[in-house]
Amino acid sequence: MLSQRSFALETLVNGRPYALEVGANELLLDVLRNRLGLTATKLSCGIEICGACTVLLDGRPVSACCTLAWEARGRHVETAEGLAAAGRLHPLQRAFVDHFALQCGYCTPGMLMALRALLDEEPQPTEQQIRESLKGNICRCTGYQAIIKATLAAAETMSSAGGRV
Amino acid sequence: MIPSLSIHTPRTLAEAVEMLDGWGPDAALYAGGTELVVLLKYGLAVYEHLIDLKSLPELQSIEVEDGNASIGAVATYQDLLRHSGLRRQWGELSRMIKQQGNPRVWAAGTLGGNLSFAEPHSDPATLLISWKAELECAGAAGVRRVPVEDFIHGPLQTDLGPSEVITRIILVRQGVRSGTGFQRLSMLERPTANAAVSLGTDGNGRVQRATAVVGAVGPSATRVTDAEEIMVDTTVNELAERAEHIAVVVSESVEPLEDGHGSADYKRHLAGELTRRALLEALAKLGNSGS
Repeated sequence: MLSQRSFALETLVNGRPYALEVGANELLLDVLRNRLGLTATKLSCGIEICGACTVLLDGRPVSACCTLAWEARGRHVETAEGLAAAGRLHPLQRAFVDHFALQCGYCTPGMLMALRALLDEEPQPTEQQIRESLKGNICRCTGYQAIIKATLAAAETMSSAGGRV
Repeated sequence: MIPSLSIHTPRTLAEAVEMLDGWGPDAALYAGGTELVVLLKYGLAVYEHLIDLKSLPELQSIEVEDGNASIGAVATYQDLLRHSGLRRQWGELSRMIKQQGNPRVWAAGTLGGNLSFAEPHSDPATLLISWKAELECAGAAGVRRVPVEDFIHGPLQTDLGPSEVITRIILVRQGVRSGTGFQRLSMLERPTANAAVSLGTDGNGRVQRATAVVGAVGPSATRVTDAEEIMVDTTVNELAERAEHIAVVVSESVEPLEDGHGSADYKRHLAGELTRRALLEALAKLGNSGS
């Protein structure tokens, strides 16, 4: 039985193993940003509504601002920093650039992770499915149309590349 | 910054109950944390100990057999959405879940957490009460069953004892000739109003049982018995014609609270209209079930 105020967090973040002493009261967002220097994931509303802090926990999208770091034990955390590989943008990122799906960029890391989760589950989503998966991600700049177009384009790219890029 | 606290992983349900019993108000049950973590962050609740129920697999399983369902209180909304038996036989549950929250809430949130928190602006209780769902609760005194309708006493107040844990949500099959409608309106993050109507008929299109529940507008989701009395012992065609009248009866029966979601008058109107739509939806589903 584990009962502790602090614990040894062993976790994988973007494929890289970490072991650090973490307080039971620490939030995943703070560990990512302040302890690991992974600042792509943003703090915005702080009450898990806006989606700017979306990260994937074993493939599931969660609000890092309201998730205890405790939940990352033995799990894989994925953030926007992990999308690009070997210096090449992920197709979602490429499509966001090509389709002007970002302006201020603040919601973007969260959007990308929510969409990554969608495309993992549904490689060829309909527009309806994209809208549904972005239900909890707020963007004040773009009006969402470009984000949806970018997602459809990325899905197309990824499927013609054999599903995995 | 959440104040320092300890997190505990009970190996058994009995251990979880013991912990609750020992620490009393200094301990909170913790599963998805979608309400709890927000409370902790902003100092609206203070706990020394969190008891992590996710270490107990018996609280996460979902069983559907002969149309009856037993849902683990700590199964996530995502688990419920992915369960093919639940989707097939209790389809409105999936529809209700997808209208509330967002994919991140579905990934972490649980029915057990939602019901034990008893926030009035909420959807699950309304639908569950229309099905006369029951909760299984385990505590120091043993295991008991309580209807969801009797479980929620008021805003953030439930029947749960100080050392009790909701373990399962029990759905009893509604019958071959049954139909359920669920409607909600939400402008803010939580619903402003919702309504659920569940009907069962005999082989001749005569309504044998009816539940009509309105939620989110008042202190807790409540059955509107005045409306139910009108619904029972009519034919489905008569009932469709009475839908407008039933909406009026509901709007006059409910006792809404004024708050940031709207005035009492507006909520009365919503209660009536959403019930009317839920009724028509239930009738349409009856038609499809071959009555």
